[in-house]
Amino acid sequence: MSSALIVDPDDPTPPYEQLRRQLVDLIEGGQLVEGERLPPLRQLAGDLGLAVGTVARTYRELETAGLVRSRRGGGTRVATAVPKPSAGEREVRLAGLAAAYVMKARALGATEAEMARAVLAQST
Amino acid sequence: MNVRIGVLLVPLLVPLILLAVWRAWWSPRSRRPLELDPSCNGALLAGHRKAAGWRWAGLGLGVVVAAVTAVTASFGLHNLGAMLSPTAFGLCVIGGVVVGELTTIPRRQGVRTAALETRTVGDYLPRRLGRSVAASALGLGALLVMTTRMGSADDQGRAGRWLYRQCSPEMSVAKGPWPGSFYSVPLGIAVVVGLLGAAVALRTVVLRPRSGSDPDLVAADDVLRRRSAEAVVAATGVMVAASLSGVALVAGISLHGIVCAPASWTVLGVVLLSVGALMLLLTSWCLALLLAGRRFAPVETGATVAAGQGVRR
Repeated sequence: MSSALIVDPDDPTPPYEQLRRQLVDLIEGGQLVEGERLPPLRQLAGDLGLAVGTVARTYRELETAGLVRSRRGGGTRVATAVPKPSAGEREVRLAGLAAAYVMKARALGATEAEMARAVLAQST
Repeated sequence: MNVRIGVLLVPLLVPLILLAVWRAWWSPRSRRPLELDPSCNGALLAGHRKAAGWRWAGLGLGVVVAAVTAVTASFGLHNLGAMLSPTAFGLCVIGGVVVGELTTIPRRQGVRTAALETRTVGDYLPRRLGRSVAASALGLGALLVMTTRMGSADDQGRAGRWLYRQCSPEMSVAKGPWPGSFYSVPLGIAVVVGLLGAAVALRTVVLRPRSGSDPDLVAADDVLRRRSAEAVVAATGVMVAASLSGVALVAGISLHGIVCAPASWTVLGVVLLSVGALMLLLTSWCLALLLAGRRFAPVETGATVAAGQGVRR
């Protein structure tokens, strides 16, 4: 597991939902495979400066969606292998992510060139 | 436990401690500093210095508390304090590590990131030392059970202070002090408290929040966690090995002093004296690891972080 989870306190989305979305993306994107263990509640809450209950809520939601399973003493693990999205689905999701990014960047007053540079800097 | 045994141990312990100090400060292996790139994370370096400071404070306090326990608690308690002093020392060092870890928790500002990882105590434990300390703890438990079962009351009716042997219907021999229930019960309770303290400390080391998810920072942070975990295990080692050494030497000497002792007691006495000597070596090894802390000071120039390797002893 080399991925990172990010929580932005200025984002109006509640932290548990920010976490949930990232973990769903990681599981559906195949970066978290079946049986892989998620960080323990207290550890992740400490690292992100969140309440344990916030992370617990994220894990509960993922469990309800059938993406993870929790077992006493065994931690929380990815439940099922989710098929990778097709090329078409990937295109649709990318467009959605790009739209959200462009909207926020424009609100900051960024030009198209600056937006492109920022994306390139992140992807290299 | 016994003044005579204490006097005997001094010439044995002094060279061992000198050896430990030499190994910590002047041996070639001790000159390997913790390589951290200062540009990587200033807060991490500051945290490392703070944690090292608290660890040294715990060590210094441990020496004072152990000395006071050994001296003051021995009056009227038949040297019970001397037996409890290693545990007092270990608990102080462990306390220093815990405070150090708690005071280095990073402040949270702006966007927070966390590596998607599962940290466990096993990731940071020094394997060889951990196994030695665990084996010593089990050995101490077994020996205390045995000496408790063999002990008898002394001439003033205090349970578990002497070892009796009925040589013939007309003659019996008594040797004391014997590490029976008079000594083993308080020592057992103290060591259990110490082991619980060590478990809490290791959990604190593992759960201390990281200040980010950058791979270099994660690797450097892991080195510091390993150093703290090593200090906890070494302090536990001093606690357990020094206690086991004391009990084994006292029991071994008592077993040898009985004229009509069966052959099994003689063999047991030799084994216990050997265990006692071996545990003195483990105690000095653990002391060396505690004293070696200063050599982990980060260097001011270093291109990269010593990714995950740290300084293992």
